[in-house]
Amino acid sequence: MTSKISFSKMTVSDIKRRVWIFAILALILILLMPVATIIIIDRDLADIAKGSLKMVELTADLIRCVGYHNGGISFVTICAAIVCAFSGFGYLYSRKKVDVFHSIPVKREKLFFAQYASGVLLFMIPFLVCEVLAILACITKGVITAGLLKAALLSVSDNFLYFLIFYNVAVIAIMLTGKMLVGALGMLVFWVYFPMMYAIFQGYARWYFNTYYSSPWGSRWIDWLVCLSPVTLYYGTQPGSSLMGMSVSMSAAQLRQIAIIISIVAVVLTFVLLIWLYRKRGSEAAGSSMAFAKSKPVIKVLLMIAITLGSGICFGALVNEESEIWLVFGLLLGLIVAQCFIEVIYTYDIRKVFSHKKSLGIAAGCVVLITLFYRFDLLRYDSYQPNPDNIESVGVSISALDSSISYYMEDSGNFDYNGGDKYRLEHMDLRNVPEVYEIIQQGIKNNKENVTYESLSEDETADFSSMAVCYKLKNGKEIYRNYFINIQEISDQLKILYDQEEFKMAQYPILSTKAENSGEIEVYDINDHHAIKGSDEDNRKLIEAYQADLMNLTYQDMKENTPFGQIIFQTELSEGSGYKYGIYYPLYSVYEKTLKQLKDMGYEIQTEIKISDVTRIRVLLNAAEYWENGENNEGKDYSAPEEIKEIMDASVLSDMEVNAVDVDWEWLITVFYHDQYGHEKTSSCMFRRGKVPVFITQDLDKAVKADIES
Amino acid sequence: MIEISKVRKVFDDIEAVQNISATIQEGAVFGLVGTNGAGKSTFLRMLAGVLKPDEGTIILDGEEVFENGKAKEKLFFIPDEQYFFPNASAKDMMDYYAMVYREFDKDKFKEYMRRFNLSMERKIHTFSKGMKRQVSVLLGICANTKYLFCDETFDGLDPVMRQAVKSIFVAEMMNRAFTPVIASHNLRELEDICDHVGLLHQGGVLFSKDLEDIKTGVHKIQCVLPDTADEEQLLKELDMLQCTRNGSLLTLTARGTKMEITQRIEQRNPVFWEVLPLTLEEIFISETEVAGYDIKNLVF
Repeated sequence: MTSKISFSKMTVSDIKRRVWIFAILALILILLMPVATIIIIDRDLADIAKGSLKMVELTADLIRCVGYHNGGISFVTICAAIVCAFSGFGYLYSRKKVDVFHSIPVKREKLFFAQYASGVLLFMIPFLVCEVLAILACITKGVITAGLLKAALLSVSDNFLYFLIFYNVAVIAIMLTGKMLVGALGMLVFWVYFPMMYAIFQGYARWYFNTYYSSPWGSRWIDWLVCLSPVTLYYGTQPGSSLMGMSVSMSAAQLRQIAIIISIVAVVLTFVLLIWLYRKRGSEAAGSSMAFAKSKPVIKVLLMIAITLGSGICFGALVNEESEIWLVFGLLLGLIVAQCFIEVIYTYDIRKVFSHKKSLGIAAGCVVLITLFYRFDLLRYDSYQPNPDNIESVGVSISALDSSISYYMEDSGNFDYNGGDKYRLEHMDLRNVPEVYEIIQQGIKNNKENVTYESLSEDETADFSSMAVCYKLKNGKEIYRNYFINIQEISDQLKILYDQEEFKMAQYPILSTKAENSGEIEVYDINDHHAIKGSDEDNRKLIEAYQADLMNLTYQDMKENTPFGQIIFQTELSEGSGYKYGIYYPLYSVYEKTLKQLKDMGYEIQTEIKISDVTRIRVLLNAAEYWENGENNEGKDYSAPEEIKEIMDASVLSDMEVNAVDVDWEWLITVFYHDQYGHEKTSSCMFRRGKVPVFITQDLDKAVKADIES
Repeated sequence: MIEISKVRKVFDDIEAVQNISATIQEGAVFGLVGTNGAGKSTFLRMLAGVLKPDEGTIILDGEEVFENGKAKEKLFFIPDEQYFFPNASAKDMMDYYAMVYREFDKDKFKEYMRRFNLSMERKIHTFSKGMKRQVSVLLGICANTKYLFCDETFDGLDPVMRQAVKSIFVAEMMNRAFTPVIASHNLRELEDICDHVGLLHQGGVLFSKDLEDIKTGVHKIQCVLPDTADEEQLLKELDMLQCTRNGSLLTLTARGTKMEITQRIEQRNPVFWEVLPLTLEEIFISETEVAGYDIKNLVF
């Protein structure tokens, strides 16, 4: 009977003692929510009256203010969680406070729940009131919408959820420690430990595994490490997040859903954990660094492993990637610093920095094992090849092919400008294409022979490309690797691969775009930019013609020619979104249907530079030191018609991309010509390999000889 | 009654309390004395249920104390360093303890505060150290618990206040079931208030006796004996706690009744002898010396 009454009384009593938190929070949240809402409404309504703003933009502004995207409110939520935790349970750090609270006739669990509940209420009450006031302001001003209401509700649920996570984590840190400073450090460790370990493991994998592929959408156990941090979990719910730039970014929508589910589970688990810790925690822990003697060596070893490995990879990667000496130096330094740092925190005695040598030995042993694990590839990561019988399908993404195409990722709302690995691997399911395994075999062979970007000269690397591979296994697993392939050596296999419909559909999103969803179309040819003004029917025909030409484009076509221009399709990013974005696609001279449709629509497209329009050609041997450093570093100009013709016949345009064409990367060619309006223009070209005209090589020899003589 | 049986408490690798067994009877003032670091505070914190003994049991009126609200309702603990809520007044603290202790007597508290000339509304952090002590003691007394554990509570009280508090203790003991347990190393303070004294030394109990028994069981005598052989024989016959010599004058502290000791001395035909009054402090020093805590080693 007594205890039931005292719980609510104790909660209220504790709230009264910490009413300053309530006052400060209320003040800040009033400014951030209802006041900011009223300011936005007044400002935007004035702009709407002037006609410079639309109602939908006002709603968007309000959603940003009262919704879960408001960074200011998120910051306040996290700060409030920390303050409520340390002010509520900070008494555990003081012997004299513990003597009072633990001697009164109240069970510790009840005391705990009262403190816990009051901390939560200190945040929830002002937050809810301010959110309600903000919505009331919207209602009274007549700008409330269902979307706004939904955003406000999401803001309440999200902020409460993340308040509880940060609150629980802070309380756990308090339970495990006996001093305020150590508790604060402990909380920070909970925040950063797992993302740090994730980054460290990735760092070592990148260092030692040539075929390491950091899948940016997470499918391995290691990717889940970041979900064990409240900071990354919280960040994972934010729109378009990429988890602090680390590679674990599933699509934002997926990540948000997963992050929320994990967060709910985390709240429950951390709550159970902290009750257990509270029961186990002795009152005598107040004033000690760590509350549980048994946890000291475990925490020390875990921290030492992270600090030591982190120090190793930092020195190794930042000072000199070529040498392992700096890695070893970093490991040793990290081990010593971590030992001293942790022991000083544990004992507050500088003389005991090298005590507890057993845990030092265990940590050092773990570090050595982990480093050797990566150094000698004990799991044979680099030589991994799944059994062909276990493979359901394979996806590949070759970075040298179509590197200028950007890929819109519908699920995240972002563009992938880096070759679109994610789009390609997700959408490509190659089955019964043995050539793809032959390509992979070449990658594995190159890896065995240590053929890497670093081992090749600058000119040699031009023929190479990295290739991301996703093995989709029958058991549902997806395994990623990155190989280094010579695209000229495997052009026969690439020809077959490129002509596969599955390959093309994943390589070119335009092939699966509905023609009617397209918006404006633009074309860049050799000379001009054309904004295509056609009827819907004409535009539809143009898209269909482009789709047909692209589908019919062969690898051989790409080996013989480079694109002469680009076509831009303004396509709707997602159905019904209304947002359209231009995606560039190459135009080849073999695109007969496209060119014919453009012609039918009244557009004459220039597909090549007429030799008669060329006034001069400047040739520069990029790699030749003589031309780079000598007085002829601008290159040599050729203007004789026969020279121009010979150069033009031996070269291809390189303004866009060269894709599969076998070019000589040593030479750079700039063609000066007049367009149909008489304006001088320039284009870049490259010689086909082995086609450099003799007179150019002779000129180079003469120049070198003259230079030596002088 | 509080029954302490084989209680042990270890902090890291320090054994603060080792194998203590004692009984605290109801209706008596129990004085807990001991050297610095003897484990008095740890012992009291275990009695109050703040610390859980690593071994042994503490039974308060038939109930285990630790995490037992029923047992804790019967005790109030005044630690050596009192804690008051930030910015709290005596009234705020009274309200808090009245919420926690069902029997808290607010009127009595107000009355005592008035008598001690302490303001109910003034912030406690503006009080002097002694005034804070007074507030703590008054809160403890007015909680109306059966047991009151005071850790060095009388330190910081001026003699008048100390006497006033002692008289309140006596009045409470006359009016209700009240058993104060007072830990202190100021033995003079305990001497005139305690009925029973437990002496802690290096984590263990050297003795636990009624004060009267202690005083009748240990005596201090000054004597001059005719020759050294008599002196040696007397020292062998007595249960000696301490012996000092000043010329031919021997000062002895020995266990035993007054009659036993005087008989032994008279048998040696002393030139001169007399029984001196013995303070609790002297008994404490003698007993702890026997236990290896030689005060002479600490005097430079």
